[in-house]
Amino acid sequence: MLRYIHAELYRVFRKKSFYIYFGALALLYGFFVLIRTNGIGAESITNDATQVFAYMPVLVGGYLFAVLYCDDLRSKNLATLIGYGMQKTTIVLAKLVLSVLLNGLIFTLISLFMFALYSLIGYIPSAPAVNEVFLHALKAALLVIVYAAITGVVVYGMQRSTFAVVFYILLSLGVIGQLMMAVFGWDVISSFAPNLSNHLVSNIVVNLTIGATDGAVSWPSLIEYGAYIAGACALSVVAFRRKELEF
Amino acid sequence: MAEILLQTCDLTKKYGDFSALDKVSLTLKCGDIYGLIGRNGAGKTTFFKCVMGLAKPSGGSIAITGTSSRLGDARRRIGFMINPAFFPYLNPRENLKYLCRVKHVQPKGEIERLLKLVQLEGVKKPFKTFSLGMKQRLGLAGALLGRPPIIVLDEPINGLDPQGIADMRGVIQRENQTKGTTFIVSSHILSELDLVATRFGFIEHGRLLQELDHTDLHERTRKSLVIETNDVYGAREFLQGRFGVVGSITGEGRLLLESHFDQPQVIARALFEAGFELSRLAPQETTLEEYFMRLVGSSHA
Repeated sequence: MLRYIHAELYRVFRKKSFYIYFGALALLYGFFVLIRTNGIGAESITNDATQVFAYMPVLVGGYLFAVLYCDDLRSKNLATLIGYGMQKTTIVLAKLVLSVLLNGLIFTLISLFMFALYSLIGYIPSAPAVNEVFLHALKAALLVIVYAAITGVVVYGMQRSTFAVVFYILLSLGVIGQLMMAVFGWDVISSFAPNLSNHLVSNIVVNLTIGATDGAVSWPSLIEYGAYIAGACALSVVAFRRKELEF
Repeated sequence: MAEILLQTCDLTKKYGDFSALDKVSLTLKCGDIYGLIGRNGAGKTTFFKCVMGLAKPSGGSIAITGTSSRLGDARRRIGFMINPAFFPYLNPRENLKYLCRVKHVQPKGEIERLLKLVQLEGVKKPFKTFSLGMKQRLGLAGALLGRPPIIVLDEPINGLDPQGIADMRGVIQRENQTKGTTFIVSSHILSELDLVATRFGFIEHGRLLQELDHTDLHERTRKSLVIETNDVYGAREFLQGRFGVVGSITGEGRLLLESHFDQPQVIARALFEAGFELSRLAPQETTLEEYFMRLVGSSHA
């Protein structure tokens, strides 16, 4: 698995569009910060973080998901890996590890970029502001990791990158969450199992970050989050085993 | 006796009611260049998919280097090219470096060797800009990476120009003769396989019709006896009963005998005495293509 992770990191960091995409996002954000003339202060960074990180699961997560998962489908790389004797479970788990590594790296870099940008224009963020930015980054990263893991079922079950990307975007925009909420609100379901919406992944991640804000770990939320990831990986492996590789 | 590197026994793959592979029992021996010949859709790629673990067989067994369990580990001894698959934004060196990491091959020296072998050294442009021929050549390099003892190549000369075909043939023969690498190569271009393969398997509608070595094949393609008569089916049955000869009937309604081609008088007299009207009976030489078509034709009869 380590060899495969090593190879994947090499591939991702050799992809030119990876740098172009994040460079363009950084430029765009920098431009908006610099042209803002009124109301800016040292604490504006926390407002920025609230707004910027709200889009991150789509803007950053969507791109990372496509790079990590969909490139394999487009280039038929899964056939190469399986043909070489790699286990499907290994591939699914390696992708999860890669997702954690890359999201951790990118969201840390985004936070550092925000601090650097604000420092550059003379507003050095306070320690509480730094904490808050990191919490927003953590929340976004946790969402992207679990969304990508869930979409992995579509990736390996259907092996169509278009379906996978559309599903990921619907998930990260909250469309699927809203649908689930609507379903959970039906009398027949809510009377049988009230408060199911508290167990949606978006709410679990909110609980986790609230816990982190208070300096405590919300163990029930952490266990539920882990269960989502483990369940998604297990389903991905099952879907992968059932679906014949296409090439 | 040569070591058996790959053996399938009654390998079957069904998609619903359709049998893509029907009890294929194939043997690949160490040092072979095995030519798997079949028309488009005959089952060549499905066979490779099953061997490489890309499709789950519906029945039968596969043994790689003598083991039929832990095939995942055994597959690491196989290099393969089934539709060259590489990352479009990486150049040949980067794509091979990626594979080196996956396959745990030391890239230093190996990448240069392979790029030189397939004449892609110095090519810096990304894979997505490659011509079909360049893609095939990089696919061959990927298959040869790490010097695996078995190489599977599915239609490797598709899209190659005549020079490219000759180069591909040269690489296969050189690797086979100098390194002892065993190849199984599929193609529907029979004349090309005839130049490179040492053994042949003919596949049609998912069934392996025949396995032959090069000498046997040339023995069989060298001569046959062509018979034109008023009742070819009756004549075929008669000759089978009388001499144990299995004839095949061509699309033009001729009966072809693969044995007894050196005894035309005996066959003629027997048919005449049995009351068949002969309009033609003559020995003829057969090309590999004609042999294949005849084999396929008799499998349909």
